[in-house]
Amino acid sequence: MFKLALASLWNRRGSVWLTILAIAVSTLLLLGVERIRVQTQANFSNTISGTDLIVGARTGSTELLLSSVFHIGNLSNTLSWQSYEHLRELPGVTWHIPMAMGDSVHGFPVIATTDALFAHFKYGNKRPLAFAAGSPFQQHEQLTIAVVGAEVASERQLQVNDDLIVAHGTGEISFSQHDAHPFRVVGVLKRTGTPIDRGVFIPLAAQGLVHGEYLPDSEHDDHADEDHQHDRHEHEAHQEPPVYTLSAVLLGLENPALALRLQRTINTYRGEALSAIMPGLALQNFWRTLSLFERALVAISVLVVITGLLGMLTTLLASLRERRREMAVLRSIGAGPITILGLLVVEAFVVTLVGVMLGTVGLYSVLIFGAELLQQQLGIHVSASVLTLRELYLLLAILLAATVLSLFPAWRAYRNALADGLTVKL
Amino acid sequence: MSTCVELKQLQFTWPGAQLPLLSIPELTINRGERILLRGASGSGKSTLLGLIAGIHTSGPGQVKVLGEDLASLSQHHRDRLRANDIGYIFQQFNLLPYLSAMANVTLACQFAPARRKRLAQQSITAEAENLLTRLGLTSAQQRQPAHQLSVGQQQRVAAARALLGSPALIIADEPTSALDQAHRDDFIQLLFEACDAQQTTLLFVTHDATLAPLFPRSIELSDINHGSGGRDV
Repeated sequence: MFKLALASLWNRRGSVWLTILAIAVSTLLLLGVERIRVQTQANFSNTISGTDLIVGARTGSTELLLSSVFHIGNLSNTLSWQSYEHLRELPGVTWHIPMAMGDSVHGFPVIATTDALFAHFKYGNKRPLAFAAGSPFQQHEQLTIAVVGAEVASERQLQVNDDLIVAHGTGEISFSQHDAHPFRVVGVLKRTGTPIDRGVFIPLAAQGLVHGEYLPDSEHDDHADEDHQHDRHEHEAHQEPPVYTLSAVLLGLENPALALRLQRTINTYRGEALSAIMPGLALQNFWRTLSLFERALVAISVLVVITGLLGMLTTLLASLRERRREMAVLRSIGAGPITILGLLVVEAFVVTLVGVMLGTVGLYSVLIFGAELLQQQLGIHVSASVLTLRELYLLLAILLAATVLSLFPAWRAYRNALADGLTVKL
Repeated sequence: MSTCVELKQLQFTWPGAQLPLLSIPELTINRGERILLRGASGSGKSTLLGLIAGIHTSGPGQVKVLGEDLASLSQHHRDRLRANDIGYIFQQFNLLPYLSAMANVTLACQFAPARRKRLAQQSITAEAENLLTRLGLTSAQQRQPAHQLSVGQQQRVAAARALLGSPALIIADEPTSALDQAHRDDFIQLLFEACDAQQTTLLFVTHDATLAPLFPRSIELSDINHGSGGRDV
């Protein structure tokens, strides 16, 4: 019976191929969406770990998270250097990473920070940043130096000692370029799979220098006059803070359990309106808001699968009419109506199985050959790992749905077989 | 001589019809007989064949094939009886177009364990080849897909399928109506020879009265049928 079904399918291979293709494409889409969803979530929660608090000017937790961890968006509020000094003196704080953002290089965000970033920032399963080449800031006399993330290095083909022009603003094309201050690349970070890969890191003082000289009307210099007298910072070049404002500060604590209490302390700080967030919690909240899109995406791909299966149903139903003759012949040589029913179910199963397999093969070809493109164009990192149990369940669900759906035309064929008998009125 | 097909007080009415299409008091066909059943279109020929082949059913005791009362058999048993003991030849389109002539013939054994058993000594393909060769198909034609064969060749392949495994009864439903006269006579001659060799009963149905002289016994359906099928014509 199996061979008979195959032979019959082969006879109608034109339309059968199209059906298989539709199922393959819908399978590919479903698996692809599922994979992107799972891996994005994993990448997402891997972006930061080991940081207990993120502090910024009073703002929403999502904005602060986006700007400090994902370098997306532009914080309009900043916190002052004085607040930073206050923060690092708080009890229980073991390390602190200041961050000032706003500039860009060819669309890559520039983050002004200190060597504390390379020493204390952790991602994934508490993995520290590592240098693929070069070294952190402190080993260099020069101020206008930069450490670049792996993707910046590969996309701009940067190596240690190459020059870099920093532009003001975060757009890819900027009209105010700080080109009098070309930065020298002193380090390239290893790939992390996080937004760090897309970052250009410069010393805080370098940002101060660039902005102080080239944008005299900027916000920084408004403060400059007031803050001039009481600079008590130990910066070598000038006896004043390297920058007057920061976008965010990452804090590491002696004991993570202190985070909650410290968060309250910071949120009620009198000197300036500050917000402190716990990155894990904020990531979770943020992901929850994204899950709406995620669910919509899954729903769409499920609908596409249903469309594919309905296509198969249509072809099967349409073929029944022209195949009544075939059924009558089978009946005449003793095939029972159940056999006819089975024939159609087997047929649908085979078509779906081939489609599903083709779709899976397609997914892997995309993952293997298109991974580079996906990463570059969409920034989505998806790996070609083996099928997960969940993905296998999805595939089985497609097969099951197809088999159940095929019962409908199979039932029609069964009824036809009983009614027509051996005489077919065409 | 034992009976092959026995009809007794057969009454058959299609669902929704007022009058019975078939009402046949009695008809007996003995084993090994070659019978021509003549009737005009619409006279209930095909329905009668469907009843004998066990596709349709009537009341108990009305149709007996090889001693079995078809009405008392389950659907599955009737299908099995047809597979094992009845070869069926249609007017045309007998074959699955996507299978080779050979595969179409051996298909007869797919649902018929008894046919396979009867062929136990020789392989199914060897016997199919044998039959096809006897019916005049070259070995190249035997391997061709069925849709590439001429209508005459297709009918001969259908005959070979009906004959494979020596069923007790061959029902031929106007098998020659798509053939020209030379091919028709040829085909009937071949069919006779094959049936004789296997001692198979042949029930040959046609609307063509000119074939009657070729058969030892011919029956006019309208003579035996008192149902609406008989009256209308």
